[in-house]
Order: sequence, then C-alpha cells, then structure tokens
Amino acid sequence: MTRSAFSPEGVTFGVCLVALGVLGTLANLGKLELLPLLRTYWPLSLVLWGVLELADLTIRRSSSGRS
Amino acid sequence: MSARKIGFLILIVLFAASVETAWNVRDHFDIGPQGCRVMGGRFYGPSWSFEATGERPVTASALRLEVDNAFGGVSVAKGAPGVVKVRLRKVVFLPTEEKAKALADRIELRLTGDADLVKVATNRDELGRHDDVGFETHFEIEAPEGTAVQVRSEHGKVELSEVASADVTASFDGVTLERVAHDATLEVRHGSVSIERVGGRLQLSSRHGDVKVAGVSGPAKLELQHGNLGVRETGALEIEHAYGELTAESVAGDLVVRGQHAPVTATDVTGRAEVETTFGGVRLERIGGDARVKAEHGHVAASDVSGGFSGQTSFDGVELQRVKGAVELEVKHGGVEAKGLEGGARVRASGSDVTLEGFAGVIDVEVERGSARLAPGAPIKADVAASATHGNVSLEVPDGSAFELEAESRRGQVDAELSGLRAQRDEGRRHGQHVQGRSGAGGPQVRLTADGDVSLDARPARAVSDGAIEKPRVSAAEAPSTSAAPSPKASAAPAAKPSPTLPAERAPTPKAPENPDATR
Repeated sequence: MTRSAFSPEGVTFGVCLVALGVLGTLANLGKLELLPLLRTYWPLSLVLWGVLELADLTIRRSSSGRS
Repeated sequence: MSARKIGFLILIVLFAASVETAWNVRDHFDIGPQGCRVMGGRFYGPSWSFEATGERPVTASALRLEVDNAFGGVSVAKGAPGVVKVRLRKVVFLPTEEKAKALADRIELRLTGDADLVKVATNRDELGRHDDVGFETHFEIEAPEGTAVQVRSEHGKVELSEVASADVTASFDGVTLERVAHDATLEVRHGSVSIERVGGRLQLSSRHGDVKVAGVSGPAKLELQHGNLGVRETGALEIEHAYGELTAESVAGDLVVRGQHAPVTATDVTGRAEVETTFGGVRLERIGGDARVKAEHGHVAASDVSGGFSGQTSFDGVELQRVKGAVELEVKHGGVEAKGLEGGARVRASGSDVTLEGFAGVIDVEVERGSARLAPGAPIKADVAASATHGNVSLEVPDGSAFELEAESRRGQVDAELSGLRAQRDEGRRHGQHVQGRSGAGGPQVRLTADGDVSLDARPARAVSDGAIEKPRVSAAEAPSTSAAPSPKASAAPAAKPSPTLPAERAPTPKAPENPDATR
C-alpha cells in the first residue's frame, strides 16, 4: 500500500486545537459556556478522526490501483 | 495501528476524562455542610450573625465557671460582682438570611449551674445530629473577680483575662491567658499559646504550636512538641521539648530541660541549669548554680556560671567562659575552648583540640587525635596533667610559678627552656624525649605527655579571667493585681470590691435564653 496522502491524526489534532482555541475565546468573551459544550461535543473529535482515516484509506487504495 | 495513532487516541481519552471530571465536580466544590466550604476547620461562604444574651446571678465569692464550646471563640474577662453575663454570637453559614435565622432560633444558649458553679454551653451536639449546617458559636463572658474558669474548646480561640485560675483544653486555635491570679493548667493542640502573668503554678502541654510565657510567679512545668517555646520571668522551670527552639530568660529557680531536636538558649537562671538535648546547640549565660549539659550533635556554649559545669557532647565542641566551680567535660568528635576556669577542670576530648586560657585549680586533660594548649594566666599552684595522642601539648608558664615537671614526647621533642627550671633530659631514648625537673622551689606536679611535641614557654602573669563572673539578672514576675480567693474551691472569702467597669443595673432574675435578634 502507498504512503498516506496526509496524516489523519495530525489534521484532527490541528482542527481540535483550533476549535478549542476559538471556543475558549468565545467563553472568555461570555458568548458561551465552555464546559457544557466540551462535555457534549468532544466525541466529534473521534468522528472527525475516523472520517479522515477512511478518506486516507480510500485515497491510498485509489493511488495504488492506478499505479 | 501505529504507536502515534495509539498515543493520539490516549490523548483524546484523557481529555475527555478531564472534561467529565470537571463537569461532575463543578457543583460539588463546596465541601462540608450545605452551602458552605470548610477549610482548616473553619467555615467559609455566605453567613449571617445573630446574638443572644444571658445572665446568671451568683452569690459565692469563689465562683467556678465551666465553658464548653466548639467552632467559635471563648472570651472570659472580669466583670461586675454578683453576676455572670454571657453574650452568644451565632454565625450561621446558609445562603439566605431567612434560612439562617430559622436555624439560629434553634441554637440555644445553655446557662446552668448553682450558687457557686455556672456552666455555659450550647445545644450544638443536639443540632449537629440532625442538621448538616455549618455554624459558629462565639462566647463573650464577664465573670466576677475571683472566678475559677474551666474551658473546653475546639476550633475556636480562647482568651481569658483577670481570672482566679484557668483550666483550658483547646485545639485547632490559639489560647491567650493574661493576669491569672493563681494556678493555670493548659492542654493545647494545633494552636499557639500566649501566657502573661500567672500568680501561681503553670502546667502546660502543647502540640503543634508556638508557646510564649512571661511572668509566672510559681514553678512552671511545660511539655511541648513541634513548636518554639519562649519563656521569661518564671519561677523554677521544668521543660520537656521536642522539635522546636527553646529560649528561657530570667528563671528564679532551677531550670531543667529534656529536649530532642531542640536547640536551647537559657540566660539569667538563679538556680542550677540542667539541659539535655539532641541535634541542637545549648547556650547558657549567667547561671547562679551548677550547670549540667548533655548535647548530642550540638554545640555547647556557657558563660558566667557561678557553680560548677559538667558537659557531655558529641559531634560538636564546647566553649566556656568564666566558670567559678569545677569543670568536667567529655567531648567526642569535638574540641574545647575555655577561658576563666576558676575551679579546675577535667577534660576528655577526642577529634579536635583543647585550649584552656586562664585557669586555676587542678587540671586534668586528655586529648585523642588533637592537641592541648594550656595557658593558666596566673602562677601555677595546683597539679596540671595533660596528654595528647596524635597531637602536641603546650603549656604557658606564668612568672612566679613553682612546680615539679615531668614532660614526655613519644615521637617528637620536649622544649622546656625556662629560666629557673632545673631539668634533666633522658638521653638514652631512641624515640622522643623525656625531661624531669623542678621550676623554682618546686610544688605541684605538672605532667605533660604527647605523641608530638611538648613545649613550655614563659609568660608574664595575668588574671585567670578577663572579668568577674556576672550574676543572673532576674526581675521578679509581678503577681496579677487581683484580690481573688486562693483556691477556687475554698469556702467564702472576703467579698471583692465592686468592679467599676459596668453601669449599675437592677438585680437580674434568672431567665431562659432569649430569642436571638437577627443582626448582621
């Protein structure tokens, strides 16, 4: 199988960090409450990671099929 | 699955666990009874204060007052004759005043007793069984002159002033006694203690708190662990102390200290001073009687001792200045420096040098792994014996000294060039030298022996000591100015004069505790 086109966990980590930073800033501005949001939506990070892993697998298979 | 992916998965799981934990404890950060936080035995959070007062007329002139309290202060002071006045401040830790007042109404001031005994307490134990609420009860009590006070308190400051006698058991806060006419007995845990002016005996047991005592007319017996102790102006003093520093000043009587991990400093003791401690130095100044010190792993220093001095130390040295009586020292792994020894000295030391400057009387010094240097100052009039293994011996001979000399160096030289000394050398030795002789008209024996060199040097005569031995400076502790009865249980004593501190009141009648008025 060919090498990964991108790093799914790297992308997920980056997206989660960005999200955490944005939400934290909005919480400090009083626009939302951070803890309830995190408690409700943290599993989405697993969803995102899984989707990216599947995408990476699909890309690698299609790359190896062509080559 | 790669290690990187596993690590990332663990990171997500840890993050999720942190979020869940934070969520679960966010409303449970308050520990303790509903609505309030408890830290260090104190309540925190919104609170409301309410007051209740009570009075109890008393007829006995030797009154006993017993106070029982927890989570609140107790203050007892001298008040008007013939009546005990109590003010109870209730502090309730609940979110709303309405709820707090409802509970405060249930907190009762219990004022009971008979003609010569008054008991002050609350119904906290009964409330505590059924209610999970934090509240404090603070007592301010005025009692007639001559009242013997007993206090049992937890988690609250205790302050007594101008009482006949005090018997206090307290924990988790400080205790202050001022002007107690007769005896005082205290047992304090986890709190500091301050005592000023006790007219009788003092007995104190303390753990985990510093103690300061000043002005005790009678003997004092103190027992402390884990706290510093400062004592001044007392009678005879007996102390057991561990894990703290002890300072004692102006002791009119004997001082006896048994310590562990406790450095000791004692000055101006009119009687004898007997100190034992470990892992801490001992410093004594101006002792009126004999001094006896035993210190393991601690330096010993003493000056102006009017009696004799006996010392045992290890792993540190001894320093003496101006001792009137005989000195006896045993020093392991340490040296000796002494000046002004008027009553002779017997010294056994190992590991370092011994220096005696200015002495009179019989001298007997043995040093292992060190040298001995003796400088009498005044003409030699008593036997002097000094020996050193793995070291030298030197003796300064003041003008006017007359003695019989025997000096031996096992592996070095004997240098005894003194005018007036007629000596014979033993020329047949293979190693070392041996000299016998007489200085002046002869007299006491001077025996000097060393593995190294032995030297005698002439010096002009001078005084044994650089000054007179200072006597202890002791100021007598003033007895508290109160005409209280000598014993709290004694029968009727002369009536005390009316106190001018309170306005004249009509004779109160016994009444049940009043409903508290809500105040902030």
